[in-house]
Formats: sequence, structure tokens, C-alpha cells
Amino acid sequence: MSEKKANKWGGVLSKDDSSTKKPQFGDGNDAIAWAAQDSGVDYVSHYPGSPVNRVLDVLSAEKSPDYLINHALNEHIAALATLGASLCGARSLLVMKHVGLNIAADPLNYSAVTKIKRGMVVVVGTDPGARSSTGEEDVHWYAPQFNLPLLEPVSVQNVYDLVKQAFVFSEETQMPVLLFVPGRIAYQSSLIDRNVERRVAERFQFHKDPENLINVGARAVRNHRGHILRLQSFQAKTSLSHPQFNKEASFGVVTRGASHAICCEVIESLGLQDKVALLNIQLTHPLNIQPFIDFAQHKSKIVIIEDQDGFLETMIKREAFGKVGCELHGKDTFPVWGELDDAQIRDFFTQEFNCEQEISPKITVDCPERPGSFCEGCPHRSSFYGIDGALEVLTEPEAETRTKAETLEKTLAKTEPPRKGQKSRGVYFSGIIGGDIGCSSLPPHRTDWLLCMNAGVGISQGIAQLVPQQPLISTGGEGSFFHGGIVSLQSAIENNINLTHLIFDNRSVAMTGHQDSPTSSGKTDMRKLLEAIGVNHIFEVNAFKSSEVSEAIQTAQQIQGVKVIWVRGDCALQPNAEALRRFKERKLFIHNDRCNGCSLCYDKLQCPAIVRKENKNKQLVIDLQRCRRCTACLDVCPNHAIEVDDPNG
Amino acid sequence: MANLNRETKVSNLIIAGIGGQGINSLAKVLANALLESGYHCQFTVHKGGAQSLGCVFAEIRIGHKKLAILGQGIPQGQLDFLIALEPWEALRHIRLANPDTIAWVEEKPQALFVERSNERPIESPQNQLSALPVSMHWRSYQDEAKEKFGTHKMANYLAGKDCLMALKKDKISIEPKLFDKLFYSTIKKAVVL
Repeated sequence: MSEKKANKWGGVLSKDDSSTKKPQFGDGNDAIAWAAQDSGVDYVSHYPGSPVNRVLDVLSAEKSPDYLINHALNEHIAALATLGASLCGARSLLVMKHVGLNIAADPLNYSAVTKIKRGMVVVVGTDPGARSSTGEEDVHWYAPQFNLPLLEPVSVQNVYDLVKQAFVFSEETQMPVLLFVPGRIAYQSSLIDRNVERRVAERFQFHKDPENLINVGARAVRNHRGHILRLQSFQAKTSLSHPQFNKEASFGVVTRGASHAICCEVIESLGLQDKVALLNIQLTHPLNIQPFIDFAQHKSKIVIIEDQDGFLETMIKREAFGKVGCELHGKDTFPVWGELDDAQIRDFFTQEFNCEQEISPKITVDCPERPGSFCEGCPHRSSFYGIDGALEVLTEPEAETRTKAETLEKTLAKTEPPRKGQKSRGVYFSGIIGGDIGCSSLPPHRTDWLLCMNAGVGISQGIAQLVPQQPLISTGGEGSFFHGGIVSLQSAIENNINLTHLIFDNRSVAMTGHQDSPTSSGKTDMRKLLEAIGVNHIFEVNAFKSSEVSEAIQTAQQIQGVKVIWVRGDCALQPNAEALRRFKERKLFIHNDRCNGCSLCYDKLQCPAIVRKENKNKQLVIDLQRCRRCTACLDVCPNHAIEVDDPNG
Repeated sequence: MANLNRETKVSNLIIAGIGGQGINSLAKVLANALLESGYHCQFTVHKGGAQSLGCVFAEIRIGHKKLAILGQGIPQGQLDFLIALEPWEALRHIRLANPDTIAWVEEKPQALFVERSNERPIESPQNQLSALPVSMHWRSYQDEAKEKFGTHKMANYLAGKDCLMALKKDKISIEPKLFDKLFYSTIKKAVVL
């Protein structure tokens, strides 16, 4: 594939022409993709993750792309593949979310010493406020660890401009350039001015370069030195710092990323343009401190307003130490957690300048969080119903244990009543469910932890070894399994760990936008793969039959060693032809004369398509507008009150 | 606060609902309709990891003149219009409202699922919203869409029509025909229907 492209593109690099397109309306994801296209990107690799999950949708939608796409199975592979492309003379783009940078960190630590031959841009979607992630980890600290330049856009247009700029900086420094896009800019939309560079790529070729690519011994130290000198040279001559408002004001504000726009709006709406000087810094690593020192002249106080840990504040204080005389504040004023919002910044300026504000009456309401839920027809819903059922059986205590537990329950109930539906506090006989990232973790209460990729199969191993008496089921989707779960499972086998692991195979990396997985592409035979790594007990079950899931778990728990329950059921939002037929032809009913109101389907299965009638009896009915005809509810009803009418069986 | 005058005033609109109701698509259609009608706008869609049934909302900021740099969030007390396809989601954003805010809200709530495990009693969103000093218009977007178009999925179309009506208060006018054209060309399900 690469060979074909190299031949097609044989030619000499030139940037002799460019054209401007009509402004287009797009969001931060569009801006990243369009900037890459307009920069003549040759190669793109990624691992999907919000908030930059749409970048590859945009790039993939191009009918006749001038670039190759590598849908890597994890960020480590994506980073290495992208590095390989840049070593062959291709402009390359790497896209991942913030936690993916942990996985890609190993190769990125070494990327700069290779002296890449063409620009490599690493776009990372960050998530202050953890809107679409399990954590708001601040990945800024990787920039000084990798010793790579870091750019931080403030708006959608700025995303576009800085991605293009990043390719230029990368080629200038011969090292990858990082670009962080926070969620609220990635999902913000506005008009984007585009400017297309017309490039004819060089013939891609890998030149042997042992001086830079065999990085051991004395060469490793020398290459490290070369890398740092290149970075220092770049730092000395490059700064992307923009002063605004009254430069002579004695009060200064420094911003980066998304906090810039909020500060501008607050300063303008409070009429403080004459009283405040603002400096926005886009190249936050390596930090050229001179513009800041110039800005700090005649200031009595400067506050650095940024999301998260205070990376820019740290860099400024490090570089400006002993060079400025004014007060410097940052994280002593604003929190390191959450996403800074208008209210926090407005409050700060209002107090600082004793502004009068028109204050609207404060509105207080009681609005519970809407936790994630499985979609109608989601295979995970009935799978978890099956897991719960199995654990109920497996944790049924002996009479003596039960008596002790019940006594303790009664004692505890006096101080803290159990919630409705809560059978036990888990003092004696609760089962453990290991949770993983992905759609299977959407209702956050279904598993016992929700932390990072492969935490299901990973954390479970330590627990299984230390508390073997407690029934434990580890879970994870097939996306996680192929991301790093294979090695985790193999490690459990090598260590003779007694583990029952469920792989939810919905044939889609669903949560991040339904990217293909190796089981949907059909290129990987899951059973053979599991057998090859030493799994001797594989149970293949239908995700929509909770009883099958439950029975398989109960059987597996009687067997020592690693057992895999391969739970198969397609994502409801990616219906195959049979699912579409079912949806069109099937109808499901609840026979109210047979329903005894146990409400397992409503309360425990929690299918959104099963609703209560707004009548006196509050009877349960199936909303056929919502029902996906997965028939998971049939398996749940103990009274056979739910029936399916399918003219074609 | 130094209020912005009519020329520079930014109108702030939130469209809220849950995943699967077409909030993102409606925001895109409205944004394009605004641009084609000569206004300036930026919008941000917020959604979590859920593919459907999670909270989704779009913050749309509209100006008669080119927008200066604006923060991505609507400031407290500066929400002009709220259109919600679900009453809990209206309640979630009503804290940004002021006494002049106008809200159009679907009256039928969608399960929060915490309700089903019933961890604590919560006053209904309808009662809470009705008690606030905000101009509330209760709508039956879902039922009306089912009746008119045969599916509740067209509720976002009806909500879009209310957005057009709402924006007129700030002298922002979009031709209904333009909205229809963009809606039907953008939202494939509408064409299928």
C-alpha cells in the first residue's frame, strides 16, 4: 500500500503554491483534520478517544485521500507507526486522547533523538473536568519529560492554524511537536478560514541512519545532547505570545488554552480593558521567557490563569526566577481540579477590582446527575443481568455465615439504612466485578471499579491471588482486549491465576464512535487467538441471553485457571441485516394478565424501552418506538409475560 | 456589569436533551441557518461518553456582528433562551437563567435510572421548573412529533422551530424555509421518514 503511494507521488517537495478556501463551519475535530489535509499530511495514525474521536471520521470521509490511515490497536503502536512514517519522509499526524499519551509515552520519549525526516504532529485531546473520561489527568508534564515542543490553541481557528504551524516547527527542529486540544475547544464550532498548501511529496524512502537510530551507549548520550541543543535553539528564537488590552497596566494576567477566551470575555464584560494587561502563551514548552519578562515590566501583580495543575505557572516561575520583581500567582488562587469556568474567573476579577455586577437571582434546584446508561438493545445490559444473577448464586452463603451477616446487617441498618434494592452491604458474601473502560462501564454502578484501560482484567489478578474465597468476575470489551488485554490475560495464564474473564464482543469500539475492531473486520479469529495464548476454557455465549451468561459464569467458577467467557452480541447502534429485519418485523408485548409486577425487567434489567403506563395500575408496557427487539427481556421474565411476534421466526 | 449594547449583544441559547434526541444535529442546522442568514455564531456541544441516553447540550452564542473572543460557556445569568427536549435537562441548565430568560421545555421526563433504584426522593423537574421566576412554555415535543411525523425522533425539528421563534425576541430572524431545507438535508433520518 505504501509502495503504491510512493510511486504515485514520486517527485520533489515544493511549496510553491497555495490557495485559500471559503471559510467553513466546523469544530475543533474538523479543524485538526482540515489543517492536516491542508498541510499535505501523508500518514495518519491514531487510537480513538474523546474529545478528538471525530478527527479520523473527517479524514476517513475524504473520497480520494492523499494520505494513508493506520487504525492502530493502541497508542503505543500508533506513535511508533507515525514515527516510522516521518522517518521515511512523510508528514505524519498522530491523534489520541490524554490518557492515551501514557500508553504512547515510551516511544515518544525517544522520538526526538531520531531526527525525523518530515514533520510529525501529535494531537492530544485533553479533558479538564473529565467530561468524557474517567479522569482529568494533566498530561502537560510529558512535554518536559519528552523534551518536545507543546502548542496550545485558544479557539477553533487557532487549532487549525497551530496544527499547520506544528508541522513547520517539527520540520525545523526535527522532532515531533505536541498540540493539546481541550474538550471544550474540540467540540466547539465556528467558522474556520482554510489555506491549502500545495505540496508534492518526496518519494518516501527509509535511509539507514545508525547514528541517530541505534540509540545506545555513547550514541544515546550524544543524541540526547543533540536533541536538547536543538530544543534550546528553538526556544531561544521562538515564542508564540500575544499581549492584549492595556500593556502598561500594573495588573497582568497570563493565559493558555481554553482559559484565554473566558478571561477575554470577562475582562471586556466587566469593562476592565484599561486596567488589565493580558498575555496569552501558545508555545508553552519550551517556554521562551523573554516576552513574559517584557510583559512583567511595571507590573505589580501577575496571575496565571490556566486549567489543571499549573504547568505554565511552573514553567514561568522556573524560567523567570530572579528576573521579575512582581507578585506571581496561579494555583494559590485557582483550583487544580475541574475545568475553570466563567463564574470562577468572573468572581476573581470582580473581587480583585471591586467591580459592581448586575447579579441575577441565584437559582437553586435539585437536579440529580444523569449517569450513563446502556442504549436500548445494548448487549451489555443483559450480560450484566447475567453476571449479577451468577454472583447471587455464587455468593449464596452457608447458613452460619448468613446468620452472622444478617446480624451485622441489622446492626448497621440502625445507623445507615440500606438503599432500596440493596440486598447486602457486602460484609460477608458480595461478589466482585472488575470494570473496564468502554460502553460496558456506562452505568457506573455495575462494576466495582472504573479506572483505566484493562483495569478489569488487570486489577482482578491481584485480588484473585489475595482473596481467592471471594467470587470475582473481570470484564472488558473487545476493544480493551485488543488494546492491551491480550497481554494481561496471557500474564494471568503464565502466573497460574484463577480468573474468570468476560470479553464483551459487540464488534465495535462503540463508545468513541463505532470504529471497527478486529472481530468486526473478521481478520482475527478470537477463539484461535485465545487458544494460542493458553486459554483452555472458552465459553461462547449469546449476550442477549442473560441465562446463558449466568450459567457459563457459574460453570467457569468451578474450574481452576484462566477461563474466558466470550460474550457475543452486536452493538445496538451498529445493527447488522438480521437486526434490521428483526426491528422491522418483530413486535414485543407484555401480557399484563401474566405479569405479576415483579418488575425485574423494569427495575433490574432497566431497559429504557420498558415503561410504566401512566394509568392507575402503572402497568408495564414496551415502547415499540424505543425497543430494538433484542429480546433480552424475554429471558428475564419469570412469568413468561413477555412475548415476541415475529412472522419470520 | 458593563452591559453590551444591542449591536454587540450576544444572544445565548442552550438546547438540551439526552443522547439520541438529535441535539448536536439540531445545533449544527441552526448554526448553519444563522450563518446563511447573515449572523455570526459559535456553538459548543457537550456530551459524555454515552452513545445515547446521556446528557447532551449545545451552547449557541449568536451575534449581529462578528463575535469577539467568547468563552466556550455561557456565563451565569446570561442565558437568554433554553429549549429542552427533556425536563431534567432543562433543570440542569436553568441555573444560568435570569428573570428575562424564556424556556420551552418538553413536559415528559425520560428515566434517569437513579429513579428506578430510587436512592432518594426528588421533586419532579416540572414542579421545580414551574416554581422558578422564568418564563416557561411547556411542550409535548415527543408526542407531537409522533402524531405529526409518526416518530418521536422528529421532536428536535419541533424544538428547532421554537428556537426560531425564540430568537425573534432578540431580532434574530431565520426564514423557516431555510431552516427546513437545512434540517432535511442535514438530518438523514428526516429524509428517510
